[in-house]
Amino acid sequence: MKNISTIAILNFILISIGLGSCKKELINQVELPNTSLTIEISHEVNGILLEFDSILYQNSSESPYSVSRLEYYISGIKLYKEDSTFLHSDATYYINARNKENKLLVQHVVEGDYTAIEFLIGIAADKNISNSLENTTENINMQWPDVIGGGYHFLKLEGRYLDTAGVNLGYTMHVGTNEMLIKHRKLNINIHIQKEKPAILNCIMNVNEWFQNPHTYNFNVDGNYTMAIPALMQHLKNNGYDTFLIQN
Amino acid sequence: MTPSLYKTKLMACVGMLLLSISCQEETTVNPENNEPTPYSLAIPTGFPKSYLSKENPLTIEGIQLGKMLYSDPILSSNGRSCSSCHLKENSFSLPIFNSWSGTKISVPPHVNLAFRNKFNWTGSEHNLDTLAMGDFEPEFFNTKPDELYKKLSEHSVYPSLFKKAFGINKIEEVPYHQLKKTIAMALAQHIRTMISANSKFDKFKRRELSLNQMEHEGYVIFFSEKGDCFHCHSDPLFSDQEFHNTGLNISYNGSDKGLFNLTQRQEDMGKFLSPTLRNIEFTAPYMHDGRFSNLEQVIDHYNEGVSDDKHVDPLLNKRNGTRKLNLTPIQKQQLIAFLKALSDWDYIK
Repeated sequence: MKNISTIAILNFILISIGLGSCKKELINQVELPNTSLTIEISHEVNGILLEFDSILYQNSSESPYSVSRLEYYISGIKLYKEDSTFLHSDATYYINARNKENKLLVQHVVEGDYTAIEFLIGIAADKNISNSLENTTENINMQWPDVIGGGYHFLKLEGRYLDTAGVNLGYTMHVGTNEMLIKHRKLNINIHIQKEKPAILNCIMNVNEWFQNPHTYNFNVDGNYTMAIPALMQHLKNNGYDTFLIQN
Repeated sequence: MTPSLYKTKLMACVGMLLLSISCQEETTVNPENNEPTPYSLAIPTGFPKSYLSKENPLTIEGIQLGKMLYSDPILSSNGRSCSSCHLKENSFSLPIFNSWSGTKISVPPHVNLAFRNKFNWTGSEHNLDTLAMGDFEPEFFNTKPDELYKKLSEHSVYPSLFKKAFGINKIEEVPYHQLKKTIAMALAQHIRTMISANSKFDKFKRRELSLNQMEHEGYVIFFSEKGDCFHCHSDPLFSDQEFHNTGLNISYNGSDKGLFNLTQRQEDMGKFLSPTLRNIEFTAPYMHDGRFSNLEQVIDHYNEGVSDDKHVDPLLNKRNGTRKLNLTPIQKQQLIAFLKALSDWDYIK
């Protein structure tokens, strides 16, 4: 009898160890809500879908321009409820406007009604450190070299413009360094998150906003190259405050 | 056996069984021994994930077959092998290949191709698994199918390697297109393992040694707006894997049109895929057509020789509103010293 009791106890311990080794995953599965919000990003110029490489557009300083590259990071997404409580996502998303789709999946969103969204264009200081993000073949070109501060480019907007004499020149609007982190203005939304029913939010960047409000950016006056020129990056940071709008 | 002892043993068995199945998914048992042995590619710190192929997963046997075939003229009817145009001492590149059409091509090196999904100067190929299939054509291997079948099937090693790596029992029964594809896949497996990440600069990043003053000054020039090299040649691959017009021409003929020849889009005029600068010291001459014989000429081009053509990449415009870097002679030498610190001598041993 004693023998049986000993074995039974041993069995209990073994089974407990065996099942316990998987316990953490089970708990995590239970604790995290199976809900998500997909933010679909699209890019327009004054209401018209962005077309790359064609000098079709005119900015506020009336420079005809094109876009050949538009890459940036979105992070620090905050989803607000009506009572001002919010859900904060610590995910960082790389966006390349040339991709057919740019969908940001915000996972484990608590059920409820959300009335506003906030986010950063760029990466907050605690993560804006070289190699803090997983390197991918897509994002390795976003690194901001260590010798000029390290971290990542927040924005790369490049293309061509016609100067006052009609000469075709290139521009490179790059933004980086912690001081230039762009906190986008809070946008009103009307999203109801339900369990196991993914919700979608359509978010549109108006590329022209990078060149206006509050600073009317003029390639011919301000310059066509902002990399590591704080005064010019500051213009883009300020203009970037309201580059997005929500499409309901 | 007494009932109590039987019960005791039964309970013990049940306990062990429950324990064994509690995390069953982590246990992998392969009852078949005929499958090739999976190979896990060691990715250097800081490198992105490699482009691996579901259709052609890396295996020890596949890599071994590819490595043998890479330097074996058995694939050709003219004595050539892959290594004829991808010379080890040149970081598996070839200074100049004169094509039948009269075009001079600086053959790109086989370095870190596991991390690329576009190949050749114009990105004309997107799949490493099929990249070598064109090499059987008259201009390169001029392969005679009958000869290839005979040589491979009578070889002392290849039949068993084809069987182990790809399950091919009789080479002579494989259709020619499929045979070429299988060979290309084996070569691709080998090429994916050709990783270079042990240059002086890599060791500097790993804090194993220091750069000398010239190299360090060049490092700062390379990764700052002074030289502005990093936008197209970003670490760790030292290529952004994108297409750029680097201002080599003011007008465009033939192969100088670059990507335009594939897409017929004006915005692609004169664009070429950024080459890696890893082992650049070993791969002279430079540019797609080998027009610059040394690194000094390359630096001179970016310093003061970029054309005024409208197709030139926006990244070539500098803060002074010109397309000039204004590097001094000593800064040019410092930049070259850094470029030479990207040489991985172990890779070409």
